[in-house]
Order: sequence, then C-alpha cells, then structure tokens
Amino acid sequence: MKVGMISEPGKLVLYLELEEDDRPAPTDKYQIGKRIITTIFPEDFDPEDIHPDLLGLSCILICEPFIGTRITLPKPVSKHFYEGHKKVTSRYTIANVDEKLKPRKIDSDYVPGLAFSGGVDSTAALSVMPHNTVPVFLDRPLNGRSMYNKDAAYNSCNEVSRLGYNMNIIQCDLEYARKPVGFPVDVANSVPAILMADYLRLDSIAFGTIMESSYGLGHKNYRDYPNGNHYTHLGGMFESAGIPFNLPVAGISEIGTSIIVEKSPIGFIAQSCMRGIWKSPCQNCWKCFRKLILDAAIEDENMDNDTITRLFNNKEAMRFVSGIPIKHENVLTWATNKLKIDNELFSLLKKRVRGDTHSFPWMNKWFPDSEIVLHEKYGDEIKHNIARYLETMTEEECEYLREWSMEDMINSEQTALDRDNLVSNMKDHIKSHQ
Amino acid sequence: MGDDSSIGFGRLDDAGSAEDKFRRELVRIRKSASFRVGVHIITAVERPWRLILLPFSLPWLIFSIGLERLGKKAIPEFEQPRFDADKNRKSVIMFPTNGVGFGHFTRLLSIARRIKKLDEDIEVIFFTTMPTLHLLKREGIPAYHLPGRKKFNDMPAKTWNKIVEENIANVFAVHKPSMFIFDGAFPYRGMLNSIQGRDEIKKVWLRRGTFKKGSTKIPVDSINHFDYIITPKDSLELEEHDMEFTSAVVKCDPILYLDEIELRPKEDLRNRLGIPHDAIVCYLQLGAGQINDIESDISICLSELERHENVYVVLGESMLGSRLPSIGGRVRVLTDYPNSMDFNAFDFTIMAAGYNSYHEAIRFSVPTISIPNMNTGMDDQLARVEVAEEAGAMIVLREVSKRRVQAVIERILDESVRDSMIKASEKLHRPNGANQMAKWIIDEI
Repeated sequence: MKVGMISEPGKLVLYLELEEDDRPAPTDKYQIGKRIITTIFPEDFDPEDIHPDLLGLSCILICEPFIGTRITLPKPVSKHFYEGHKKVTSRYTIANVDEKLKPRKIDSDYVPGLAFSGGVDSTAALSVMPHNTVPVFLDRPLNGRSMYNKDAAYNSCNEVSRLGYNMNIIQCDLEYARKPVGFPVDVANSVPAILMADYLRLDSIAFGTIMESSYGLGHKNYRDYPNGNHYTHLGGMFESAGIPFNLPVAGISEIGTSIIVEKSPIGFIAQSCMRGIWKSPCQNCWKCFRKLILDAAIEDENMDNDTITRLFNNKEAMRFVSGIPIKHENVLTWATNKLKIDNELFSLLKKRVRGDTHSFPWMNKWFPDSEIVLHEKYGDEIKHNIARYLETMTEEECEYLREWSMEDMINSEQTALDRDNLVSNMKDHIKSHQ
Repeated sequence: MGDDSSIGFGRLDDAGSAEDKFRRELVRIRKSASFRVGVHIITAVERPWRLILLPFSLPWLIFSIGLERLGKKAIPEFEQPRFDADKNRKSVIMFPTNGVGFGHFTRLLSIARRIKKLDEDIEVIFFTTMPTLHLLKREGIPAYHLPGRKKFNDMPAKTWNKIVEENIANVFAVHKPSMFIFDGAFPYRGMLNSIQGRDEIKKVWLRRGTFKKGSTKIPVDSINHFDYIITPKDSLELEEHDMEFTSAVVKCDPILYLDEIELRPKEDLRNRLGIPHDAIVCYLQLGAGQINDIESDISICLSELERHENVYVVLGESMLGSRLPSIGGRVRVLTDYPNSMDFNAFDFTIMAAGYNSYHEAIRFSVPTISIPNMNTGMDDQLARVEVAEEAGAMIVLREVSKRRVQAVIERILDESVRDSMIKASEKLHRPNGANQMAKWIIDEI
C-alpha cells in the first residue's frame, strides 16, 4: 500500500494506492472503497506541519485492513515510531523511515483529547474526563441515501462548545475508504484528533469504548483487554506515535455510561439515536429500543401500555432480538430484571434475556482493573470523577466479570425456543399495528 | 482656540449673556408652531395671490411641523447669536445622561480623569442628570446637576428642555468652554437648542454603535449639531453609519475607567470582606431584586456556587439599584465604584454582558461565565460575548437551568480551564480608548 498526500492550508487529501500483495477485500463482509480521503481543517492549520508519525498513524488507521506486507507513508516516520510499530505488528511493515527525525514531543501543559460522537458513551467519557479535555468530532460528509441524521450530533457538539469546551468539528470522509461505509479500524474515528494533535496540544486521545467492547461483557466470553490484541497492537501504535490511548469508560458497561449521563451536569448533551433529530430520537431503531428500556430501569419508572406498544412496534429491534446472543444482551438482562411490567411481549423478552432469573447487580459498577487503561496523568482525576456517579465493583463482583461466559446460554435449546416465541409474537404485534 | 489660560470666567449678568438669553428666547418663539402658522397666514394676507394656495400650504406647514416634532424632519435654522471665538477658555463641558446604569457617566469620567492627569490646566466640568456626584468629587471634577425629567412629577418635556437649555447656556456663559461633549443615546432638544450656532465651541457626541436608518428614533437633524461623533469600538467590528450627516467620525478602542495598574492587590478585598486567601472567589453581578425568587438566574447561580465548599461569592451591588438582601454564609456584598477595581481578587465572574462589564472582564483577563441580557433593545449583548466565546475567553449561557449552570461552574472551578480562558482573553486585549480620547481632546482644544 502506498499513501500519498496533497495539502493546502485547511485541507489534506490522502491517496491510497494498492500494491500487488495488498488485500482489497480482506473478508467477505467488506472491501476497500474510496481511495481519495479528504479532511477539512480550520484555515489556519497547515497539514504540512503534522508530525510524520501522527500522519503515518492516521494513514495506517485508514488503510490497515487492506495492507498486504508493507505500507509506504506520505512522509518517512521516526525510528521510534517505526520500531514501536514493528513491535506490535507482524503482518506488515512501514517502508519509509527517517533516522534523523525526532519523535513527537509532548509538553507538560498539553491537554487530553477525546474522539467525541455526541452519543451516550462519549458523553459519559467527557463527563469523567478533566475539564480541559478537547473533544474532536469526525464529521462524515453524507453521500447519497443514508439513514444517518447529523442533526443530533451537531446539536450535541454545539452544546459542548457552549459549555466552554474547545469543541472541534472536522469534516473527514475516511469512512468511505471501506465498503460498506464504516471505520476501517474502530479507533479510526480519532484520525482528525491525531492529525491535529500538535495544533490542539493534545497529549493523549480518549475514546468512549465501553466494557462491552473492551472486556467482552455481553459477548461470548470475558476478554483480558489490556493484554489482548486490540490494546497491545493499536494502543502500542498510538503510544509510539506520541499520542497514547486513554480509555476512561473501558471499565464501565452501557448501563454505567447511561447512569453517568443521567447524573452528570453535561449529560443533557447526549443523544444515542443517529437517525432522529435533536431531542427527538426516531424510536424506531435498535438503539432507541434498548435505551427506552434501560432508561426506565435506571429511573425506576415503569412503562405504560402505550409506550410498550410503541416499543415493540420496531422491525429493527425484532431483527436484533432474533440473534443469539443479542447485541448488548447483558444490558437488557439487567434492565428487564429491574422492571416489573405486566405485559406479554415484555415478559417474553425478559425470559429470553434471562431477566427473570439474573439480576447482575455488579453491572452498573466500575471495574477497577480498567485503571490500567487510563492515561497515567489523568488516572486519579478520572477515577475520582467516576466515583461521583458509580460504585466500584468488589473483588467478588470483579470475579463474576472475569468469569463472564454466555456459552451455556448460547448453546441452550431453551434460549432458541424463547427467542422463537418472542420473535413470532413481536412479528404479530408489528403486523397488527401497521 | 482656548490657548489663553489667562481668560477668566464669564458672568451671568454680562451684557453678552443677557443678550444671548433674549436671542435664544427669540429663536424659541420663532420656532414655535403658533408663530410659524401665524406668519404663514399673515404673509398670505399681505400677498393675496398666496391666499389661493393657503388651503394647501397651511395643512402642509402643519404636517411639516408635526414631522419636526417627531424628529422625522429637520427644524429650519434661524439666525443665531455669534460668540467671540477668541474668548474661549481651556475648559471642557461633559454631559453624560443617565441610562440604565453607569455606562454614559463612566465613559466620560474615564476620559475626564485622564485629561486631568495629562494636563492639569484644563478645566473639566460635568453637567449631568446622574445623581452620583460624589464620584466626581473623588476625581476633583466639579459638576452641575439637573435631575432627569422623570424625577419630577408629570413635568412636560417642553418645560424640562427649557431648563436644560437655560442651564447649559448659563454654564457656557460662565465657563466659556472650548469643547462640549455629550454622551447619551438620545439628544435632548433643550441641549440641541443651547449648542446650536455655538461655532466657537467644538461639539462632540460620544456614542456607541452606528446610526442606522429606521433603527433609531433620534431626530434627523440632531447629528449635524455636532462637529464630531466619537464611536468607541466594541467586540464586533463596527458597521458603517448609513444615515447622512456632516459631522466627522472619530473611532477609538473600548473606553474603560481603569488601567490594569490601578487595580487593587488580590488580598485587599479578601481582607476587607473576610475571605480566606486560598478560597476561590466568584464575582456575581446579574442585576438586583431577584434573589428571593428561586427560579431567577441569580438564585440558581448562588445555589450552585454554594455547593462548592471552597467557593466564596461576592455579589456586586449597583449604587443606582435597590439594596441587595443579606444572604450570609460565604456570600459577601460589594458596592464600590467601579467594582472592577477589585477584579484581581476574583478567580472568575458570572455577569451579564453590558459594554463596560464585558470589556473590563476581557481587559483584566477575568474568566467569565456570561449570561447576556437578551432584552436590551439595540445593545446586542449576545453578539458581543459570542466573540469572546469563540476565542475561548468566556462561557456564554444563553439559557439558564440548574444543570447548565452546574456544568459551567464545575468547569470554571478547574484551574486549568481558567488558565486557558485567561490566555484567550489576553489575545483579545486592546488599548484603553479612554487614553486615546483624552489625548485627542487635549490636542483639539
């Protein structure tokens, strides 16, 4: 893979050029898409000033799934980054190194950055981060038909800015480098922040990565995240480029981030639904389905019949609940267990997600092992802030998490029966309310 | 003009003064509607051919007089007395009106005290409707006071304007000024009458903002009574005037009462008010009289500030408003002039976005949560503070709710946030326009 660049103040264009041994379709699920990636910056920002290691890291995050055995970056990187990358990457190497280039320097007054989306998780992250955190929103330009509505995200960013944060909205079309559209690597949403790290004086980049994505909660088995591939490989590369990871909510489940957003003074800026407009979620997507149930459980409020009728009249939710395990099933287990609702569909859902038998009282608490993935400079402050909103898991509760496994449930015939029962009833419900 | 310091005061019983008084009376009579209508009819009688046109010309004259009264049409000029330009003294008469607060008064006082420092031979006299004359005494500035019309029960505007005209004329007669400076949004007719035809005096109108057609109710002919219009800059770039007038426009930077060097040391106010030196001190000034209303902006701010144990609040009380109730606890009240004298003592402020408050907060780099008053007519407070918000120097609350106030207070209590706001403020610093204008005035007289 060769990456070239053309720039002018306020604009960077990256060209991806495939080489013979590259992988245009790494899996059957996706392939390479657009090969010209454009990022629009503030006019006083000259992309020529980007440190080659930061530029190199950004190119890697855009191209990594498609790289064969080597990548030639727009500018040669420092030996420090080259070595650091090599240490955590075996599949491919960086082709161009400048032995004389000094690694990126971080001054003591640099501030933390955050890849911000306006959703619940990144708002929770912002709530527990230091007040001088600089949020950066990757603004994907919309092409053709898309269900993604940017109204809520823009309003959310606007509110953040009005609270005095140095909010940055940076237009970048890197999600089109992949077909279907999406981030080639999950942390590629931080590319604008990485590119602007010196301009914004950032010493680290935080993400709203929650416990479900880090430690595997709600997935088949617990994952030892700090020693896993994601953290060592990507975290290692970020570290070598001089912009280390900071994962303030990695030890917090979706339940915990929702509680934080509920209690935090800045929580009102969050909106999880990406299809509805500001303060008016679509109520028709999987996220809205989950959020409605979770919020009711957090606020300890039961739902009336009308709300339940609307809740289950959701085709996308029906598709999701037919999976085993259901995406973020743990959240539904915790929430349905707390709610006492006399409704057939709700009872079927509760049975399917085991809310009738499992309470997971530790799931709304902070997992202290995640301290290791906090940036050292901000660790104490983040822990202090988390403690304002959430309790910390006891050692016994930590052990429950470490032993997390859904295998028995996944392999159980009863689960499949419960699923079929729920889906068929939900189908009838949707049909009767069309 | 005015370079002979040996010229003494004039006397009210001078022949010239008496003559001036009669001439002004004559001009008033000639300007009156009854005189003009009468003259019109008499002229028609004297020249019978005009009688034919009288059914049209008379209503037109009455209509024109009506437009003049509404300020939509210029009043015809009448012969004015001529004064001897060689007899002016190095004297400046300043006329600040009383607006909602201290704006006009403070602006002129800021310039006046600098003129006194730069050239002590220049006499500065205030003629004002503001009641706060003790503030002038402190600066050694003599003043004539005339209460505003609304201080008198049902006094007709005509009567009050006549008092203004006579009083200013008397002040002119005695002080023989080289310059007259008015600072106010609306020029009183009595004042305009008194300065009309006084070519030996440089007449200046110090006024924020630009003259826009249709957006101001000032009489169309009033601007031309002045030789100069001084326009202090604001945070936003000034728009150009779109009304036609002959006066020259002079622009200056924002006019502030104090220079940084005049601010009291940080410990001074803390010692006086019994505030620990290590406390975080917030200066809160959002208008009085609403503290007992728990839904009011000031109450929400106070209750959110109270949650933080190391925070002390200094409530700014205006000398013009009603007295603030006693609150106790970690809340203190400050009634000084100007309260910005103690800005070194504050770690941050929560204030509205009036011209003076805004520019003082920026000039003295005090991190500020601004709650702009959205009901101030032509003074666009929101637009003003948005400049500082964009630069990262202020946090602007467009909507006050417990949660928002809690969020911004938590942020501003973080020292690193305040530090970055201070740095951002420094980038917005401008020279003090009061120094610029004091030098300009000295040069002009």
